[in-house]
Amino acid sequence: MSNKNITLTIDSRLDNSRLVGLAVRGLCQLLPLDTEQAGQTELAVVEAVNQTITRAYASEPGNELSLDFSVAEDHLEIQIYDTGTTLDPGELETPDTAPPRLDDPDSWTGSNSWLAILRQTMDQVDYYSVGGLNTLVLRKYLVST
Amino acid sequence: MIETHSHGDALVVRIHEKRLDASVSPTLKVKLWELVAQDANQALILDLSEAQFMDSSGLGVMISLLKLLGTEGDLKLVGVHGPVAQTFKLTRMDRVFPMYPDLASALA
Amino acid sequence: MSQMITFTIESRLDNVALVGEAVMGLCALTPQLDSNQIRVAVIEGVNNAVLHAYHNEPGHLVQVVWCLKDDGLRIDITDWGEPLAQELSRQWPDDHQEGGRGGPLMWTCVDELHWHRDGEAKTLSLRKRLA
Repeated sequence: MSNKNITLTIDSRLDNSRLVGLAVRGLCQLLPLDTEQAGQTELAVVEAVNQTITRAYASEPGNELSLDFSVAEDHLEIQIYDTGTTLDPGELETPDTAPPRLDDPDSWTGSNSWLAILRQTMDQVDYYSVGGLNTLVLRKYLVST
Repeated sequence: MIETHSHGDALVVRIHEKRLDASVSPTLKVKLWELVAQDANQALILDLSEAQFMDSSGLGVMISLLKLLGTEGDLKLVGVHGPVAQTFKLTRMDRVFPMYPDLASALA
Repeated sequence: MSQMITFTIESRLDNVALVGEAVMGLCALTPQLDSNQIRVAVIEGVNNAVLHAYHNEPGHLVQVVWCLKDDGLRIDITDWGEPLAQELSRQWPDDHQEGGRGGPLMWTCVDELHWHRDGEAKTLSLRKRLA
């Protein structure tokens, strides 16, 4: 069975991440994901798109951001492409921070909450940069219900 | 975007947004901060029962409010459910925000 | 206010449902419209592109641009294949006819349908007014 694939493209405006999130939520209806998993997939994609827009393009509109949504037999793969500023590879290696504490406002959130969300909702998170094209890869294994 | 009413000493703020995301977060933050600027010592109850989605930018607005209120103010959340509850849990911020299923329990 | 997102698929029928469901997801932004009608219209349009413009041959592109403005929703379906022999009919075929229902079905689901051509690119534009 060959993969089913659709590419989503938006302008690099933060309010466009909503469109991507809603479209991905719709796409999840075709997958063996329960409501919670579909919601997590939507959240992961929105976080990844937000992060890409702010990091790669400094939230400036007028740039193109593409997302490939590819469905294979046993997994979903989402690849988010940009041609802007590259993510520091070390950032993906950052270990999870300690749980936030009520009495310590500095612990309440770090700038890497997007990464924590991706790690917990996706089975694999990878990043690479080749010839000026940056790719963030999210993979989620599917179990037929 | 928001609707407020007082209940005793508490100010109840109902957020009329289904998605607390990067599209609305900047404006929502301004509106909520304006409320706190009027009285930083008040008890604030945010009603999120209409929200069906929240990303880290939406969460960031909640956290900024919590920090702004500091130790003098009091912030409670009501109606957190579904994907919004998930976001709090995934970021472990469900340990930090007092949450109540409904307004009555928050006011009790 | 204008919001826009583009979907691109390879010209395979098993990709058409992806476009349909992605558009359904976006219908959360237009609760006043019948989301199923929008999905039906888009799927019929994309099917047309795959089957008639590209003769069901994979390896080609179908592009769908979803654009929401204050006055309405516009969905443009573009292919670079063969042009349709005739414009989409509004007329329902006779009951015994197997085909020919895609056009009238689309007309039923939308407020306006327009064709335009720009070089090799052929675009079917669907429009729904916001109530």
